[in-house]
Amino acid sequence: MTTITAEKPPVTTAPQAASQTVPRRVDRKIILAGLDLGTNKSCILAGPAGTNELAISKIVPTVVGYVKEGIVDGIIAGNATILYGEDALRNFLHVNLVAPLQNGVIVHPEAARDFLRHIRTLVDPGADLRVAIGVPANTEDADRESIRGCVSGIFDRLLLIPEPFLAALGYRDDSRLNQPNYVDPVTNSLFIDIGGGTSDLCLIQGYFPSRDDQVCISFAGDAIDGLIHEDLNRGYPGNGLSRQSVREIKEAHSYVGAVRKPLDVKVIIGGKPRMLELGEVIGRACNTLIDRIYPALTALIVRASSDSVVQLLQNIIITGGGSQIRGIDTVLQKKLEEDGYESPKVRLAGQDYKRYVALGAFKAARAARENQWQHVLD
Amino acid sequence: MSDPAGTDEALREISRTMRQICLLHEMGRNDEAAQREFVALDPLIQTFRNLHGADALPDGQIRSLWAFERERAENSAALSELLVPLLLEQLRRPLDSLQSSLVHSPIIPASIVHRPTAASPEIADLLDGMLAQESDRPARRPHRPT
Repeated sequence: MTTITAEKPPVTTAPQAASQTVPRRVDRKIILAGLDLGTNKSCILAGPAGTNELAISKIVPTVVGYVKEGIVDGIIAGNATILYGEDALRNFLHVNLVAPLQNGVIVHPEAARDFLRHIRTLVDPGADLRVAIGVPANTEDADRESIRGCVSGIFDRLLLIPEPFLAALGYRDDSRLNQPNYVDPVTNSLFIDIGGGTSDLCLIQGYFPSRDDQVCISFAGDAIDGLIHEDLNRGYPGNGLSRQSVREIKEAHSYVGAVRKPLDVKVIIGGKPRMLELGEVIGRACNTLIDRIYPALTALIVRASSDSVVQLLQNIIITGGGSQIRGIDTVLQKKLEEDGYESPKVRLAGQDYKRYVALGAFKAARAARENQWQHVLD
Repeated sequence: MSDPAGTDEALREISRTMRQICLLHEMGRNDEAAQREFVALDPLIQTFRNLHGADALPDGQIRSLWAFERERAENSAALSELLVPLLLEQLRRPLDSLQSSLVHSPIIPASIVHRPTAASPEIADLLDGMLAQESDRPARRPHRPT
């Protein structure tokens, strides 16, 4: 029995995602999950409580596709009315694509609920689902409440934890914690998590970071796409390139530092291939990210105590999609050196950059005590 | 004629019942919580809406009241987890040392003292720090009727 009227799913809800308001029962199997609810991509890791099993590990583009009116039967598999993630992107001609998040926060609650219902179906529709979710650093109360509202009736219990802190937890190699030469990133490090909507920096020194230890900058991958797109439209009016095409160009050619010329990129404009010289356009857009991040980075370094800052400078770690920008580690390190910091070392988190936040969230879900979970009211 | 005092009292009663339900959830007594929701809270809301009209207590306001009371219950649980071990420890000591330690012991829980630690911290302890910080922040207020 509930007193809150949960927002009803739209009548077009796909059969597999419908009726997901799960009754609270004490005897259901408990599934623990970590969710990186990203602006562009989300990652879910989940497994049964009380085991070391990782039953689910998926990365899903954070997008919902509502099938357009009048689509002939059979065009969409199963005649579904809502598609998610890759399926939605593949069928972009036949759906209205809605991105539930912007700059790391929910801007389309209904689409967010549909997306979260889909996440639930990926995990286990009937289980008691307890999910630790990554949120941008210093997320406002209203935005946290928006997430709580959207998961209501879909997840059973919830923990909202800042993403860069989760990235550090995910990056931590638990099997090496007892080795004397292993530096636990959770004890003294500075994480830079560059996602689609936000870049989050966080000082992590063995305690849970305070608000002053975290900085969230609303400039990240999407903003770089926007700058590249604007420049392209100025230089090549009527190019017809979509934001998705621009993103693909960025992902293939992004770099920071001195301008690299020539950087010829093949694009299709009006059905014809053309070579565009984009060295300056891409470099300018990506270097803007450095300009935005660097002051926050130095501001956080200043917060570290004098007896911990030298080791901290050895543990500056970049993760998230932005870690794939060529030269980002060396450029930041060089700037720190030039500004006189003691032997700074900036590293990339590595291949698993897409999963560290979700992995950290999954670890948090497994370690959380019963009374630390927040109940989600139906 | 509307009765502002009566309206406030009825809303306070609804909030109080929500708080009891949230506390029951915090204690893991979910069945009791569900029962209380059914037998106590739903009739209160229904009665309020019958008296004042559905617009006087829209779903959004109920959601805000729930969020506020849920946070209060969660904060209380987090705070009690931090304080109970400290109090138990103090109670084990003789009275004179109790008074001495109450004067000299730090008020801030160890988990939120901002100092890097050499040992690898436990995740649950870090989460305690997070919850303690959240409880320190100003509470959100639900909309009150005007």
